[in-house]
Amino acid sequence: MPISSQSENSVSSEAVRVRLKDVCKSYGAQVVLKNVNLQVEPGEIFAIMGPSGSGKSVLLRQISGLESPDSGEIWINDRHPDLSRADQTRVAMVFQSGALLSSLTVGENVGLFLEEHRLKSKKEIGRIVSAKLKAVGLEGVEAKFPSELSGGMKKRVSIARALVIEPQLILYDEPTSELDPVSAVTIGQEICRLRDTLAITTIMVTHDRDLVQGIADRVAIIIDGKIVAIGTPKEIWANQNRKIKDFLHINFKFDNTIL
Amino acid sequence: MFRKFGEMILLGLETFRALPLCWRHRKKILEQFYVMGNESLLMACILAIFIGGVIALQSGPVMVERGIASTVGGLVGLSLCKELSPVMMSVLAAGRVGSAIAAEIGSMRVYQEIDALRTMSINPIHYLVLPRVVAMTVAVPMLVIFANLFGWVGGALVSMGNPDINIPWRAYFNSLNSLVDIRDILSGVLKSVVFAVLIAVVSCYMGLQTSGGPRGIGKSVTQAVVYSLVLILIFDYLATRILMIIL
Ligand SMILES: Nc1ncnc2c1ncn2[C@@H]1O[C@H](COP(=O)(O)OP(=O)(O)OP(=O)(O)O)[C@@H](O)[C@H]1O
Ligand SMILES: [Mg+2]
Repeated sequence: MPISSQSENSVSSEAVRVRLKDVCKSYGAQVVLKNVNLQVEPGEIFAIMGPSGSGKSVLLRQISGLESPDSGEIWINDRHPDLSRADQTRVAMVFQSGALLSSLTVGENVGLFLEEHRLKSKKEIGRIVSAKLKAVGLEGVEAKFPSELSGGMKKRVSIARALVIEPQLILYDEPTSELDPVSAVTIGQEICRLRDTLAITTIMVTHDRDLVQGIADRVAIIIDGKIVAIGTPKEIWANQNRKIKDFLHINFKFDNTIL
Repeated sequence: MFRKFGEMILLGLETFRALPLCWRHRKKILEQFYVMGNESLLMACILAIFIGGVIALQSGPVMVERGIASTVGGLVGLSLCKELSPVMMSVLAAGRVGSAIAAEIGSMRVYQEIDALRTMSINPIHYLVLPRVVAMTVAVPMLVIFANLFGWVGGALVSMGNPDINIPWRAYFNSLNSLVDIRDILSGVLKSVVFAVLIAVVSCYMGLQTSGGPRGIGKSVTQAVVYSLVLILIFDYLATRILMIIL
């Protein structure tokens, strides 16, 4: 369970490939994921879009290993997701709600991984924590408690917490949903930078059309638990499928009424 | 329901297996211990004074009337240390500490904090359950010792002050001293160790299995307290029987 010293040998810095084969998941009688097939290439920024309740968060939970699918297989490189073996492949997840530990300060939250696994000294942890917080545009909030932060700040703290893990695969559940446009762009740039410098594979669930068109290499559209289209943002926006057009069209209209 | 008990036992075993990690988690254990003491010590002392007082009040006049006034101290002393302190302190711990544990862990479950721990490869049993179980196992027996002392004093005060009993302080404690054996105190303390483990494991379990959003937290808290109380009373009988044979 604890990340052992052998981790130096087995954590390869190479990015990971994620493959999903016929993944199905139901809760009781409700079928949430229906035969999801996906392949995300190493170092790719892969976006997942779809209406609310279509199963995006559930899909991320399967990939992260928090839950296992009823049937079908998930491969992260040549292994199944396994949270108890994080010494092999480091997967970080940014939750839709942030999911910061409310009893810990922001600094403790961000440094939790290093602290619990005894990976660095106190001083170094402090330094890393400030650096990661700075990377997401937050400074001097280490001593605050999550309850004292705004929604967007919590989201950014939880991104910082994910970065501390130095993941090879990072899963974002709506990274920009509670952010103002400027912070959203900052986060988008940070996601890009991570991919460019560390070759991290990124899967992000998002409703943010600009973010997808700006940084995603490919997009999957998921409707009612089924993947209805996969392609580059250009291809998807040009897709003639009625359901997809409806979905993206409503998106456009919504944006236009605001502008 | 049987599945629940099975899962509780498994949780208990897994926590037991994690005991070697105590030193690593000492900071959290101390923190929990401090919180528990803060939540319950004052209440425990007040409760104990009144329990001791009421036993003296109920039994004193009768015993004085029958001419066995010299055993009032012993009676109060024995009933407290063998039975009432361990059970009442465990009830107090279940109500005050167990409910808080279930609520805290339950809300962590509902707000995905536990999922977040798991994605960081932090085992929630090591991080959350172990410190609470260990702290509780130390805290409750200590509460019992405090309760014994305060309960005895409560009994003494009533025995002295009540005109129908009217036993001097010195005579009361002489009687207590001659009737209460260290083994009696020990058996009460040992029982409370068992209760403490029960309360902590049950409360952590109820917190961890919370489902159904914030509403589920309330349900978990109620269940934690109810299950703890029932198990305390059942195990009180069993433990008493076993200790009778051993000690
Ligand atoms: N633990 C669970 N138990 C039962 N049903 C669940 C559970 N988790 C999710 N669901 C159901 O699965 C469906 C998909 O949920 P999910 O959270 O994945 O939606 P989503 O695509 O992330 O939506 P949003 O964009 O609003 O976040 C929903 O209909 C929800 O009711
Ligand atoms: Mg979601």
